[in-house]
Amino acid sequence: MPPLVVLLGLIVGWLALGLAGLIRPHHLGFVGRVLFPLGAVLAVGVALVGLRALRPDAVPTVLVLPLGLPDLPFHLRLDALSGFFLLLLGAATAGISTFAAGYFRAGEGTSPGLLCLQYHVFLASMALVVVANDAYLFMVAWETMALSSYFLVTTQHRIPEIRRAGFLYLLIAHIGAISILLCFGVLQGGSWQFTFDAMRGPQLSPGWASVAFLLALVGFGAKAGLMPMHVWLPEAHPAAPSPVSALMSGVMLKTAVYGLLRVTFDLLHVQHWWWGATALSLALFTGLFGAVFAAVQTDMKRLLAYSSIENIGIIFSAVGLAIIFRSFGLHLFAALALSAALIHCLNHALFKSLLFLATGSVLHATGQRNLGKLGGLIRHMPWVAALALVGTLAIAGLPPLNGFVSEWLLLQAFLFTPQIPHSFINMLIPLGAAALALTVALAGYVMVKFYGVIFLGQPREAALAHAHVSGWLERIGLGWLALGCVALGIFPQLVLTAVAPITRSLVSSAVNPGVNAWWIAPVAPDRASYSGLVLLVGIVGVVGATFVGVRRLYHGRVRRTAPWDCGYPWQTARMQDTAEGFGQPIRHIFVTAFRIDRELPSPTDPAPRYSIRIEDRIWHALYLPLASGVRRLADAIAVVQGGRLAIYLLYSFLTLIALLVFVL
Amino acid sequence: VNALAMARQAWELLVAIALAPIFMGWIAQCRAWLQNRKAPPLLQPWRTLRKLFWKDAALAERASPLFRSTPYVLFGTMVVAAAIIPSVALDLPFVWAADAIALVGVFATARQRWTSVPPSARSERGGR
Repeated sequence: MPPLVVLLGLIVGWLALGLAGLIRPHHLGFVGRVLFPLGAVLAVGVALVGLRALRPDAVPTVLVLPLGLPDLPFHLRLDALSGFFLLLLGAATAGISTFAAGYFRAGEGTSPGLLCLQYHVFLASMALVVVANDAYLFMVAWETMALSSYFLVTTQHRIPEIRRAGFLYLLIAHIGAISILLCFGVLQGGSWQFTFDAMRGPQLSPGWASVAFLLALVGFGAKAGLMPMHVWLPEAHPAAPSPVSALMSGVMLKTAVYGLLRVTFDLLHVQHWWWGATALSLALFTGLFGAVFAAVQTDMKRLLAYSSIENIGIIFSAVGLAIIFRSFGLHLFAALALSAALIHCLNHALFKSLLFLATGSVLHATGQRNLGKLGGLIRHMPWVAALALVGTLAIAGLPPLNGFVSEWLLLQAFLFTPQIPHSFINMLIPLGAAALALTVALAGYVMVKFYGVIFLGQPREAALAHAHVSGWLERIGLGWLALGCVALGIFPQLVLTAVAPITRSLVSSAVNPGVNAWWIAPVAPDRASYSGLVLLVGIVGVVGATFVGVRRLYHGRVRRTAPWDCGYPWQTARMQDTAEGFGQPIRHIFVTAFRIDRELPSPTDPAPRYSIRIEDRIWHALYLPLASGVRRLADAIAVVQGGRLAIYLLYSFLTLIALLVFVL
Repeated sequence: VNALAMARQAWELLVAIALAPIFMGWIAQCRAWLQNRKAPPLLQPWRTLRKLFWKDAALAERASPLFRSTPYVLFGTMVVAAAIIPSVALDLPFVWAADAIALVGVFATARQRWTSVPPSARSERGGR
């Protein structure tokens, strides 16, 4: 059977599961224990279809559905790029759906059955986005994705802040969609053919191509959370239930990367180096901004949302670098940067989903999202703590886990930039490499804070002693994603081989996956090589040998005792390093980036209160003036509406006269 | 990867591990000299290590398994880093496992583990 038909079957299966949720919408056992695990099974199928399209001998397959507009039926196409994003969608969703099966509880806003429908429509629309082969189906799937995720974000719609977050998300999603629609309008180039096959063919003039690229960058950037359109992420992610946050951050943001790659490399065939330079500078700003803001957050899901912004910055900077290399004809290096972008997409889908799901477990166990009221959970939730540790190490970009592989590839790509025959870029890019290195280092700092404050130390509240453990379905979901993080870190040559067909079709070159099965050497073995497996075996071997050696040499007398209190016996758990305290150095260094509202108690206050609110300057510099401008404009127009019948009749009369004058 | 190369690698590792405390001792000597003090002997860190192996270990009541494993992980990462860098011998089989960026990554792994431990080990009630 052709893979596209199988994929369509799986998508229809998802929709059917969603509709089945409406049969018994309030029966949690049926929806949770039957429908969501089935959805996870279908997700594995989607991943397998994607994997098949990534085989070196696979050819792009197309399918035309008898649906859609009379003269524009739905076109589907499955090539290596679509296949990779299907693999990402399937692999992450399999874990997230399994987790969700044990996660959703009754009485939290939307009924489970309706949630199941929205969830599976969301999945189906994301799968359709990556296989759509005409602008019409793409926009239909894109908007379905935005709407279904809006409903998922506002699951707890009785809370005003959540409705507000949902509105902001929907607004920015629509601004992005308008931009994408205009981009397709430019891309059809006057032929009025809206299939991607027609857009792929003729070359646009340089000016129009640049307009199309900028529209695509704005449109897809709004979905991905590129600055300055990132404001919805830190609002929407804390508002949504954790599996939905995981799906949005892990998978949905990647559809925007897919869209940008499709438009830039496949439809526009990259033309100008400054496209790449624009994307790269925006992306580096975004990455640094996300990392700095993540460092000062005190809400764990908000922290992860800012971390997503940072990772999107890393991915887009890789894309920008690939555009620069491609426009100078350096195909191998373009393939290197593009591989880094794609692999980081997959890695981020795994570890960010894992961390969002872990926050979900913590949230259910403790009812707390505030880092200041957590702590010491490693004792009460050992499973979640262990699996989240894998996620934090991976996202911090530490070898031998997967986050390191993609960041390593990207830094390698930066090291090859001196070969670009353009002095301005050669001057600019070392700055970019430094900014990237700073971003990655800050991400490591953020993750120490995230993990340390939640899972280590002492419980900051007495209620945390009653934190209950996670269910077995939740553990399987987390375990699947953690396994992916480890496997892709140890065997990076697998995923390097998988992305080779994509880079071959988009930049007509592919990096060398490795000298042999043990290490990767993407460009040349004497330039740079890396082996996660050898590092892991080395570290584990040394740790094991040391452990055995210490056991032999040491007498083994270990005393458990109260730690020394520095002579101050009245210590409480609240005296530990807090989330605010941990982020304070960063807040001081990057003070200009924030808008800080701080309330300091007076020294004589018998009940001192300290509070700090850290806000985004862009919100006040860009969004609020825009909103008030729109409001003023609306008020000015509203003057016309006097509310008196005679005036409205006068308007009609005047219009009639004007028309008569015009016609005669 | 032949036996000779592995032998070279093992030799380099042993030299690095043996020299590391002596290097610390040398730094302590230099510091003492700069402060107009009499310096401890060069092998003082090795003696300290031997002494610590005789003493009892005291562990905070509520220290987590992560805390207990930290010294092992730190030692493991540092040994691997020593194996990656060709210092005494050249053409080592381990060198291919990582380049300079990956070496920074290995140090970062150790650093990350190190930073997540101390705040509570220093103060407050109980270790992390």
